[in-house]
Amino acid sequence: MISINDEPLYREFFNRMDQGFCILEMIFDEQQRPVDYRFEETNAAFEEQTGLRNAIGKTARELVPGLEDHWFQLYGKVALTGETIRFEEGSEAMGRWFDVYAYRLGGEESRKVGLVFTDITTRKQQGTELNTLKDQLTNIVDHAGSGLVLYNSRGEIIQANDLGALYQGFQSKNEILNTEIYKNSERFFRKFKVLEENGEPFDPDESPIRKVFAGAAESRATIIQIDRTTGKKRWLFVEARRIPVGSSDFQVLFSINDVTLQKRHQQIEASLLATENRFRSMADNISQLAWMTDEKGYIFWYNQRWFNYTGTTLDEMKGWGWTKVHHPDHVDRVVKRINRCFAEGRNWEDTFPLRGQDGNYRWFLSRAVVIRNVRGEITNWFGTNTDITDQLRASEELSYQKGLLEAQHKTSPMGILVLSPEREILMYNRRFEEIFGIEGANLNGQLESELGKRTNHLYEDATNREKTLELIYTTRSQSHDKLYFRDGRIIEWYGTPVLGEKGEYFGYAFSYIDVTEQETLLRQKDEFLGVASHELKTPVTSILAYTQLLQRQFETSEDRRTYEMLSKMNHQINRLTLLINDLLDATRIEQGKLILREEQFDFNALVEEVMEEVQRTSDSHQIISNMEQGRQIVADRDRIGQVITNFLTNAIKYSPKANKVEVFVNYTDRAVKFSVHDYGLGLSREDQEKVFERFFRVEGKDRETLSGLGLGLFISSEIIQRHEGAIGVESRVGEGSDFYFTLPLTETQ
Amino acid sequence: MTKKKILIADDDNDILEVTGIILEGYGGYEIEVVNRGEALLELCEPFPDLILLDLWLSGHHGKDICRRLKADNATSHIPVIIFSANRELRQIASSCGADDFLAKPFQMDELLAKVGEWVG
Repeated sequence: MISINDEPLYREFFNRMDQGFCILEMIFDEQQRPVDYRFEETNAAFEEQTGLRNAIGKTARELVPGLEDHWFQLYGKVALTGETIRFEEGSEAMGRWFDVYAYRLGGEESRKVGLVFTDITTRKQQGTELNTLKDQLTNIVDHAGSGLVLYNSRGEIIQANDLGALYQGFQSKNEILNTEIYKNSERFFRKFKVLEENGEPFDPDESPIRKVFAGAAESRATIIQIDRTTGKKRWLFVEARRIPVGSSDFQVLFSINDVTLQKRHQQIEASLLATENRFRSMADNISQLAWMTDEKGYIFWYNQRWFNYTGTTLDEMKGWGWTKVHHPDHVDRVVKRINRCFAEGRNWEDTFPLRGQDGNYRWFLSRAVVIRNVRGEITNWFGTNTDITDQLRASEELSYQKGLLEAQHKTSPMGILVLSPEREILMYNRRFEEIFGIEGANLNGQLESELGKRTNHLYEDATNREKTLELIYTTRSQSHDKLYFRDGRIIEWYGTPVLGEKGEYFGYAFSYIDVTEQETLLRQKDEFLGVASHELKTPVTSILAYTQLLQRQFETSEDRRTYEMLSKMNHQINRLTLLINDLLDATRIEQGKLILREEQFDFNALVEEVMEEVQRTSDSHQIISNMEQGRQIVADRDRIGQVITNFLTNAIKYSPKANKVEVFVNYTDRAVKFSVHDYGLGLSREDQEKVFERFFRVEGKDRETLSGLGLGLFISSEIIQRHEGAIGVESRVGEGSDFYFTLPLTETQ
Repeated sequence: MTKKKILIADDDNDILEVTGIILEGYGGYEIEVVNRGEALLELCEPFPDLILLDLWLSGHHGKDICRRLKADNATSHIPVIIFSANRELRQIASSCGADDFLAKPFQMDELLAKVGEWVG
């Protein structure tokens, strides 16, 4: 502080300095309020700086009438408090601005104030203009669409607009002015959930404002800001820029733009794009050919399949180029019809062939639908072509099959009935109606029992029919039987389950044939055979009887030659008898008319009886028996005897070089087993399987002379099977054979 | 001792003859033969001791004749042997009440044995 007491020195200093200097004596009123001041000292520059002359001794109010009150207030305060102040202040009364340094002269009692001042009017005027500009800028900034915040290098907000405050979660700029960046940002991240553009959480250290304060020249980011309380979401584009001030200082301008709308548009565009891409991808990949026209029907787009199929390009096809791949026989009609639809704005449908790139035509079902905009105006047609060649073929095939089936139904000599798995009548044909006398009765869809009601009176035994149906529905097996009608008709039927390719069960199909005529013929044949065999046997009976009579007469005669010839005749006639009997039996077996007459008898006794009889006609072989204790069985004695005879005669016949055959009879609890062992030719495995077949005869060079009809074992097999027994052979070629049969012993024994 | 009388009914004359020769010559029986069914229905005293009856006779079926004979008290005691070429002879014989049967063609020994069995 300069001491005022060194007066001469300082007076000189004050007079030489450019700045104005003066000493004031403050004047207070009774309430100690400063009301005026008197100039006590001035320096040389005072006059120039203030424009006031001869000021010493005079008061301010005298010199400057209307001087603003704040001057008195300021200097009064300095005088009373001893505070040193420096301020810039203007005075309209003086028309000047001053930069003032004011201090109290002397102690607390002193009311003297020293002023060092500079006229800064010129500078101030420039400053006002600047301020006006600044105000205008502020105005602009305040109303700008962007949020703007200006920081000084210490991070204090020195300027901001309301939007800038708003985007940071404040009501107005006044709330953020002169606050610090980091305080704001902490608050910011508390108030808002902030995400990266892609939805990832946003790292606050990556915020542009922090990066710029950390040294970056500029930094920007798009963030998603979600208000934690309201949930309001917006996209903000924020940008921070370092603005150098002077050579070492800087400010940071932070701008915030709400890009929510743009973002939304982008999203919509993206989704539209995606939709279009999806459409194209879908249209290219659908199994149909597809195309799109403009509002006039000019095709401007085809899907890839169209090009793949036709082997064409868009240039060839666009507009009306498509007619090139149409079949000449159809194209005129197609063009005419589609044009009418285009003209009338109607959807279109047609079926026609299109030429593929291989040159072959395939049939397509084609459709086009009208596409209208929101105002209902036609904008496009969207068309598809669906390849139906295979369907057409399948449909033709189906139609053919149906026709075939129908023809079969109409003309079939068989009655046909098809039942569902639930025994509903699915269909039957005309012949079926005729057979069952139900012409005109529409029974389709009704239950089979309805058919039963209408036809039961026809049968000799209706209950059997019900049982059969029940059985085949339970077993789902094929079946066949005959129906005997009261009017004498015999209807043979065949039932088979209807199964799909994968084994699906669709019900039952029955076919019915009137076999009355065949049955009559069979009966006639049977009768004929009966008569024929009888008629054959009648002369044989006479011949045999005469032969045996003659044989008896020559038995004691000297004429041995005649006797032996008669013996041979006798033998041959007996063979003839057996052949006739075999023929008749085989016929009866074929017709299922082999009638068994079961009785209880001693099995061993029967075997012995037959052995005796066969032995009588065979001198070459000895029949040796090995029988267990005999038991009673129930069977057709004659027929079983016939089988035993057959076994024994075969054993002898097929072992021409042997001299014996052996008979075995064994009993178990349940069955009797009869077997004949011979030491003959034997049978190959193959022949063993066939030996019981009808008309089977073993062939071979050794066997040429072994005659027969090949019916004996067939008949034997039938007889044993009818008795629920088993028949078989074990044999080795060259070693002989074991023919055997078993018969069940009934429990009552 | 009077000879036993056998009545043979058959529509085949050769069978009638040869059967008759066998039974007469080797059985020592008195033989009577008929070749028509009706003859049997008019049967009267003296009755034969045995009837050999073929099934297929002109006029009447042997089965019916046998039934009628067996139904008539006067003739039911006469043994009837059905002799026929039919394969179901056993059933037929028992169904019409015949006493026995003999399949045609028959063995001479068999015929003599069977007849002997019934007339003793």
